[in-house]
Amino acid sequence: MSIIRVFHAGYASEIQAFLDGAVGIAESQSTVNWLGRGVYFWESDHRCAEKWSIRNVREMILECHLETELLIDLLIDDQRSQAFWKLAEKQAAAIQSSSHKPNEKSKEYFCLDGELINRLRPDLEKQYAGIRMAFCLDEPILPDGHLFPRQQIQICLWNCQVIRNPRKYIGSSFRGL
Amino acid sequence: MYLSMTEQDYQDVRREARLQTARAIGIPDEPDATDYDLDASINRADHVAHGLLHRFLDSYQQWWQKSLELEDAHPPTQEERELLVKMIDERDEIRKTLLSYLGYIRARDSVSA
Repeated sequence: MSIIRVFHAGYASEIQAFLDGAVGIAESQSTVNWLGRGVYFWESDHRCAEKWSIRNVREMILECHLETELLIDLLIDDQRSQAFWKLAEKQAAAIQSSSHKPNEKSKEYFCLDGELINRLRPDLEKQYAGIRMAFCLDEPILPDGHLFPRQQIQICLWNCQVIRNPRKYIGSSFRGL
Repeated sequence: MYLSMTEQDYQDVRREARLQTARAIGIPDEPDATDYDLDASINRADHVAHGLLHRFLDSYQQWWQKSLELEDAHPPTQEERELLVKMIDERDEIRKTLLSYLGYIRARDSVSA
């Protein structure tokens, strides 16, 4: 079992309600999200969540644990991720010929990627709670290289019932050391 | 309230930073010790740890005060937000330096024990 520590930035009213026992958290409905509709988490790096919350005027960060076995983990080359890529390839042609806005990496708009996952989700969410993926942003240091200045792992969750040990994030806390 | 943090949350982090530092450098747990007493004990035992702890406490206080200021600014400007982002980095970098040093102390003491 692999447990990861993750952070979700959102509205206090939603996160506090979840901490008080509500079943779920409102999903992001943005059409530019790379993993489609869902509840987004940053893995490990709380600073991503803090900075995003400042820039996007959110009041609270949820800190919790997730089990990667419950996710489609695209960081791992296993049967689950291979099946995902096969499904994605099949769906890609239909998406490209649709009227959806194109991806714009420079603006971090990933409309097509998100729409592709939205289309796959009804089947995927019957078995999995969400999807985990690494993102490399900005331009690499060398042409066609992999030395990207901004790298992060994100999880898009479809089922909040798999969240473990949820609590309010406190900046730079020393608890649990 | 920024990050929905309360004054009590803020004070808890400051207290916990002192307690963790004291533990790491081998000062016996004294739950009733005041911050002043803890600071004095830490400084006597390891003035490097004391210096790093106070750099963290200072940067944490500056970040917290700026957060409160921006709460009152409706809405904060882009520049103000980016300043807060920078302060998060400073706060966390010195925390990391402090924890690295304390980890080094723990490792050193466990090897020599």
